Parts: sequence; C-alpha cells; structure tokens
Amino acid sequence: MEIIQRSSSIPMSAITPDSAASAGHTAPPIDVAKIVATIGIAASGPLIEVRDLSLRFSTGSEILAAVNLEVKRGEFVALLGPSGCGKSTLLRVMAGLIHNTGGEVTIDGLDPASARKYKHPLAFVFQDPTLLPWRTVRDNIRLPLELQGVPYAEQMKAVEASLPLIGLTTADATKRPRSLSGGMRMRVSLARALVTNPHILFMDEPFAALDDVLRQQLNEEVQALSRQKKWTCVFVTHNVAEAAFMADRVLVMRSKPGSIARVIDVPFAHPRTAALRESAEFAQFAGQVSRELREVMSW
Amino acid sequence: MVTGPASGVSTTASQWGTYFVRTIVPPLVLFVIVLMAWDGAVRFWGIKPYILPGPWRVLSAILSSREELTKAFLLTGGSAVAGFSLSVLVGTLVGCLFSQSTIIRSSGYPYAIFLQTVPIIAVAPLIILWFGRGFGGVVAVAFVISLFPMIANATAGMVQIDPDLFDLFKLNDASRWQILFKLRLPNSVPSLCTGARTSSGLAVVGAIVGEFYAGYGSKHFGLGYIIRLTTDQAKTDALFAAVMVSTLLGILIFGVVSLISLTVLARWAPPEVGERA
Repeated sequence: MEIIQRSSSIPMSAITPDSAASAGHTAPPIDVAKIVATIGIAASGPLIEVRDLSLRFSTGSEILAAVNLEVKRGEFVALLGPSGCGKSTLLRVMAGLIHNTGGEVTIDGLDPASARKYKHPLAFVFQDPTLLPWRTVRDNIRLPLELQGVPYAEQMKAVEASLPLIGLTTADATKRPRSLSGGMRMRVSLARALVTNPHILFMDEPFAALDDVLRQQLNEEVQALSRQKKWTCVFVTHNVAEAAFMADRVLVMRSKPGSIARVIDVPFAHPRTAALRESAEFAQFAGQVSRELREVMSW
Repeated sequence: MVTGPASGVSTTASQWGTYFVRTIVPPLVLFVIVLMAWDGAVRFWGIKPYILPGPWRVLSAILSSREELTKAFLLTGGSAVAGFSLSVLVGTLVGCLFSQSTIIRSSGYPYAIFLQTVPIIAVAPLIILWFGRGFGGVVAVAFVISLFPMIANATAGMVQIDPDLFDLFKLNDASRWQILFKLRLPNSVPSLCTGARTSSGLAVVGAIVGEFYAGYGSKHFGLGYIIRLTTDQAKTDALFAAVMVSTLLGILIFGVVSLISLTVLARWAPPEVGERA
C-alpha cells in the first residue's frame, strides 16, 4: 500500500520521458500497461537493471564499459574488485549521482533519480561516515528526513526508533561526531541511512577504515538488519571475506575499463553468524572467490 | 608558565582560560620586556624626547590626555567595529553568491582581489569624498580594507566541501537553499572565523587611515586624527600615546573576535591542543 501511495505522485515525465519531451506538439497517448508496470503493482523481476552501461569522462578516459547486471528485490549483492576498478563509480551511477554516457540503469523501470524520489527510497552509506560536525548525532541522523520535509515530530520518532537498531543509545544521540570513535561514527552513518526506511541500500566500502573485529561485528549486524528489513543491497568492497559473508551474490569486477567479469552465487543460508566464518566451507568459498579475483586481475 | 594542552577539557570556561594563558599572557610578558629595554635605551644613550620619549613620558602623556584619548578610542573603535561588522555581513553574502556558480565566482573574484591589492592610503581620500567626511566615510574605509579576507574565506568555506556531503544532500533531493543554509553556510563557519580575525585587525587600520582624512566634526577626534595632528606638531610623546592606544584598540578587537571564534568553533572541531614549533 505504501508503495502505491508513493507512486501516486509520479510525474508523467518520470514515467514516459520520451513522450514528455514531445508534449509541446500533441498530448501523448496514456500507456496504461506501462503505468501499471511502472508503479509496482506487478512487482516481479529484478529491481535494479543495468544494461550495457558505459561511462567515459570528458577527458576521454573510459571508466566503465559494457556493464550488465541485475539485482533482485531483497537481494544482497557485493561488488568485489581491486582498487580503481570503478566499483564505487558504478554504485554512484546506479544511485543516479553520476550520469552514465552509454547504456541504461533502471530501478523498477524508472531512472534512478525518479525511482528514489517517487517509489523506492534509497539510502547510501559512504566510505567515510560523512557526518556534519556541527550537528549532534540525533541531528545528523534526522538530516535526510529534514531535507525531505518530514514534520519534526516524525523525524524525532524515526530517529529514536533507529538508534537501538544500530547499537546507539539515547545518550549517544546528544553527542557531536568529534567525540565519537570511528566505529560509532559509522554506526551513526548507518542509522542516518536506515532512518528513511529505505527500500534500497547502497554501501560504498563502509567498513574499510575499521579494525577487523569491529568490521566483522558490523558485517553481522548489517547483514541481519538487511534480512529483517528486506532491503535490496549493493555493497562495494575489496575484501573477499566481507563479500562472502554479506552477499547472496558476488559480482567480481575487472578494471580498465570496469566491467563485471564473474558472477558467483554465495551458497550459505541465512541467518549468518560469526560461526560461519570459522567453518571450513566458508574458508573454501572465500578461497575460491579469491582465486577468481586474482584471475580477473591478471587479465 | 604556560599550561599543558586542554586535552579532555570540554568546558568553554576552561578553553577560555587556556586561550588566555597561551595567547594573552606571552605577548604581555614580551611587552613588559620591551618597555624595560626601551626605557633603558633612552636613559643610556640620552635620546631626546622629541625623537624617542621614554615609556614613562608616554604614560604621562596618556594620563594627561586620557579624556581626549578615551573619546578618540571610542570613536575610532566604533568606526572600526561598524566597518568590520559590515565586512563580515557583506563578505558572507558575497561568499554565498560566489558559491552558487563557477561563472559568478570567476567573474567577480578578480574584483574582490582588487580590494586586497589597492593601496588603501591612496584610495582613502576618494572614499571619504564619496561617503562624506564624517563617521560614514571612516566606516567606509574600514569596510573596504577589511572586506577581502571575509570574501576569500567565506567563498573557500562554502566551496571546499566533502563531495560525499553534496551527494548525501543530492540523494535527498535537497534544494539550492537547503544546500546553502544547511551545508555551505555552516561548513564555512571555521573559515569565516579565520577571515574575521584577519579583518578585525585590518578594520582598525582602516578606521585610523580614514581618520587621517576625515574627522567626526568639531571637537570629535579619532585616533587617526590625533596621530596626524601630533605628528605635524612634533609632539612625539602624544604621538606615541595615540599609537599605544590604537594598538590597544587593535588587540582588544582582535581578542574579542578570537574569543567569539573559539566559542563558536567548539561545535565544529576539538579544541586545538597546541602547535609544534
């Protein structure tokens, strides 16, 4: 119901951009089937589709070429690859933050910007916590809601609900980022992402700067939370164990230009706990992914 | 003795205390040493008072004309504060404007640099001519000389922002106004404080230079006017007195602005724990 309510305000230009462009001449015929498909009444098939995507900067350098991938609803996909292979750039293109120069990205049939605005709230967790230092933890967490014009009382309610989910206390909420540890700042960043109740969560190496123990702990928490909330997740990492533990599928990227080289299904059932990492199967699988990554890198 | 770093100290009072001990006390100690050396030199070499009066003679000049100096201090201080306040306001507004477009910035910035490079002593008579020979003219000179640091720092603070923060705002469909008021402006506060510290000192210089050419009407003299008058009359002790009071005014305004900056910046970053020489 919530999806349909959100969809009711989709402008025609978001649904049929081509016809909107020609609106100056004659009114375009309304494609009922397309609208029905677009607003999510028929919610089947992949949620995110990337077709023959390419990205070339104005300097001429080709960053991404012929990228094809699909992400199903509720699926957790890891983009794994060496530094500089374009995985963070691909994630930004998928979020609509960078415009591709070729191919297309659609989220439930819409371009990313329209999809995140009208239909599928999208949250992005950056590599650094990217908190506003002049705001308290609470004010940082409620920022997306504030920008979206959500009433203050609802903002506060959502913040209070998100704090325990990500291991923060009410006392933490009054602190400023400078007085928090790196791990706590990342928790605030995660809380800021989930306060909008997103359908899609993009994470760009969010735990890369954390120590191993904290990284594993947050891997477990985010993994469990993504299952509980039924998020569709795309997680960028260069850490094989992290990708193997978190994802349902691992997409291995090659570089120069970046593209998807291998797609590996992760065989482990949910829920995944710390014990999984100590199992022989996990070590074997991580070894296999590492080999595939090395092969891709040697191309 | 300089106290240790303020690590772990979170109260503003403690920060102010640390600031006082580190920033105010050392120059005061040096000032006393310089006074002693000055007095010793005047006595030792028997320097004539019209060339270099001793510190006691200057002190005597200050005391004897304290009423006149106090009035001048307040007048010049008022002009400097007014010019400085205007430069903070206008500099911040120009920074907001420059942050909105690269084209606006590259069109306007060379003219802002003009403010920095123009010799104020040369244009002050023109400014006085345009803005009048009273308070307005003096404030205008103080404003012109103190504007550039505010524009430069405001623009830098509003433009140099973590690109991820822009992406965060973009992802939440923030409007241009939201980006300005919730990101650019608060992000520029540390830069604005740096600019304000520089501008505050310049505003005092500007007010005094302005008063070289303009007064506030009969019987109302600023420090600049006194400096010029006593120079013409070769009253070196009175000149020194006016210079001393001018310096005190500069230190006072700079100190107040620095203290306000320190208090404001407590929200932005941890207290500075000292620099290594």
